[in-house]
Amino acid sequence: MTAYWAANWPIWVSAFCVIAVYTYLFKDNALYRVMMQIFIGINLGYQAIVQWRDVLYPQWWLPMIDGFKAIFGGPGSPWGALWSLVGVIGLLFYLQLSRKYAHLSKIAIGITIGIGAGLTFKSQFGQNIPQVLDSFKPLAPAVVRPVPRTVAHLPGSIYPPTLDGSLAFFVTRNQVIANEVLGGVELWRTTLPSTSTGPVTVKGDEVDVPSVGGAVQIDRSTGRQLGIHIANGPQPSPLPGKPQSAIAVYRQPQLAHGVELIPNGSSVQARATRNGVAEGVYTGDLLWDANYPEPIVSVQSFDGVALISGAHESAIWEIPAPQAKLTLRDYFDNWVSVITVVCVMSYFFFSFRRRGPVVVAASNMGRWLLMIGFGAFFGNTVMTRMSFLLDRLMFLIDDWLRPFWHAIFK
Amino acid sequence: MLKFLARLDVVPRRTIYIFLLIAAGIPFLVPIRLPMYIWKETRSAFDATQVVQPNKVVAICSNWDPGSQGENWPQYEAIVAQCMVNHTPFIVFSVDSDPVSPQLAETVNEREAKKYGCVYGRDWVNLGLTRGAPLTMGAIGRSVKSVFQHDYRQIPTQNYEKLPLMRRVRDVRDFSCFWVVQYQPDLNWVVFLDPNSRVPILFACAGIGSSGYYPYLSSGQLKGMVVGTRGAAEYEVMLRDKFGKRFDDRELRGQKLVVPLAFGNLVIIVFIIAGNIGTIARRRLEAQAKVFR
Repeated sequence: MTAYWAANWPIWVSAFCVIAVYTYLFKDNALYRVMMQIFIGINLGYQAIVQWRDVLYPQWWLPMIDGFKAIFGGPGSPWGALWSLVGVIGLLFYLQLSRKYAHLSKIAIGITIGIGAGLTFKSQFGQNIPQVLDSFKPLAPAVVRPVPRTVAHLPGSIYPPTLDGSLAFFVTRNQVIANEVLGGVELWRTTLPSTSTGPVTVKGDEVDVPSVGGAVQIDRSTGRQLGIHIANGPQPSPLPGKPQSAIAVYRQPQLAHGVELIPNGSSVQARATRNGVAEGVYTGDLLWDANYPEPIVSVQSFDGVALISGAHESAIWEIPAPQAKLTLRDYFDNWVSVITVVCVMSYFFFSFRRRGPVVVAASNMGRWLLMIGFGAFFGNTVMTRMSFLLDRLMFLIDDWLRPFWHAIFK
Repeated sequence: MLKFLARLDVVPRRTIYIFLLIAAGIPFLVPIRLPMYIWKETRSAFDATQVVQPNKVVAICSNWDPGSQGENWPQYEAIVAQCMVNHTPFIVFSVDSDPVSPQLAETVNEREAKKYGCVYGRDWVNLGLTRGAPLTMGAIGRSVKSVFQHDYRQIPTQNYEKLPLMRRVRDVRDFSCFWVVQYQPDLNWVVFLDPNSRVPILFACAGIGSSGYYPYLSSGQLKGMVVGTRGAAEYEVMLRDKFGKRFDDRELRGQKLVVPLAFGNLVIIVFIIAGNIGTIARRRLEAQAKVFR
């Protein structure tokens, strides 16, 4: 039993505190108030220490002291000393306590409010604009599928273009063209001494193009021809056959490896490669298809776009995110959502007198819908409060009573 | 009969407390299991945490404290268990929270690490507490190490021998997803952390404020959400379905708490109905009394 007490006395203290606080449920009493004050005191003391140790000391004090040391010949940057100004501005708040200098505290208050207003402005836009856009919901199935948008036109290539960082290298029969891939700006164009026989290979600062006369070496940044590597050069390769499909690279990580772009003659189909890339979409489902003006040589994808290449022209397509396949229930939900938005807005619109049966009915409906919404809030409130009670109940039963029971009757 | 029903209108609150204690206490003493329905937002959150790209980490803003541990503790446990059973590295930090938040998070991290053989510095790092949201949110997105120069154990975050995980954590692009575990998570994370909105943001919140976050799920600003103890229990069920025996759910609270929660809610519902019946009965009695007068 001694071992039990040695190990479990903090549990008894905790259990006593919990029960003392819960005595408030019976009625307000001194024990409850003592506990409350102890809790507030401990919390404030702890906060002060952590605030200094984790925030002020590493992020304000140390850089400031290092700055002053640097001014007097120490290592580091002397600019850190400017952190002392932050301390001065912070101390201005305390001038509220002085009648004579209280006006100086307005500097600190003004700075704080200014920063707060700016951040709130940005925050409200960032939070609410997508909400406004989302309030326009599809109320019936769409007639057309989403289509990719062409963001840039690039030169054609008879072989799959080679991507290297922000550049793409296109090969025509007797030319190599380097383009900045997303902007579509042409950097250089070099004429080959003989017919090209394969796609470009990039080796550091050098670009190699296989051709009938040997591998032509070109400077990557200027397009200047450096030489021709004839001996044991790559064998002329035939024109590429059926182009390979590409996995769409989206910016959203949850779509990774979820969509395949499949070239088929002069069109591209996007199909899901796994279930759930969008709601109601399963493996193999057609997400969209789009035509290209000529037979496609290759399809490649990177950073939210696809590079579609033909012999005469290439294009950068912004690939649309997979659209959810909505069910009847989803459309019903959307109707409810739109009706709720309209009705509740009509309830809160005070700029004109509500007249006419439609407006009055919408307004009344808005009030009812609000009440249903508040009901959901209330249900969640009960659930949360209950969870908090259960957490303490679990502590009292599992951590306090059960071990004590075992210690007595083991 | 009407007189008896009218008495339901004035049930003393202490009676309700006693019923509540009995109903909620029974499942702690007698193990009872209830079937779980997995909600869509919980599954989305689970899937987003499961899809981890190479060299990326799960980032968790653990802002829960003793005041909200009833709901946030089981949620945090489940998320950490998923990372550890998957061997997905994660970083934890607290922003503008109660000072004990990093300590509470570390208690859970260390307990779960023992189950799955995870090592501090390699599999997870606790970066401690900082303040100054929402400016800090943007700063974390731009450079994690400039905000957290040392971790919770006072090891410098540039010390890659002790914290090899921090070598690959630079900014928000190194996060595969971002969790906020808090009583009422701050929506500013959606705006300030990642201006390009590439990182899925997931909330684990108390049930009380969850209704306000559903519009953000619908608009795609949030990719998933775990609501209260119920969400934590669903998460545990999904973990068990996904990982089978590899997932060790001993000491996890979600499923332990959800049954008493259901019983407690049932008692509240019964008393709400009884109270309404009582009010109607009392009014009828009053009406009858007026007629007889």
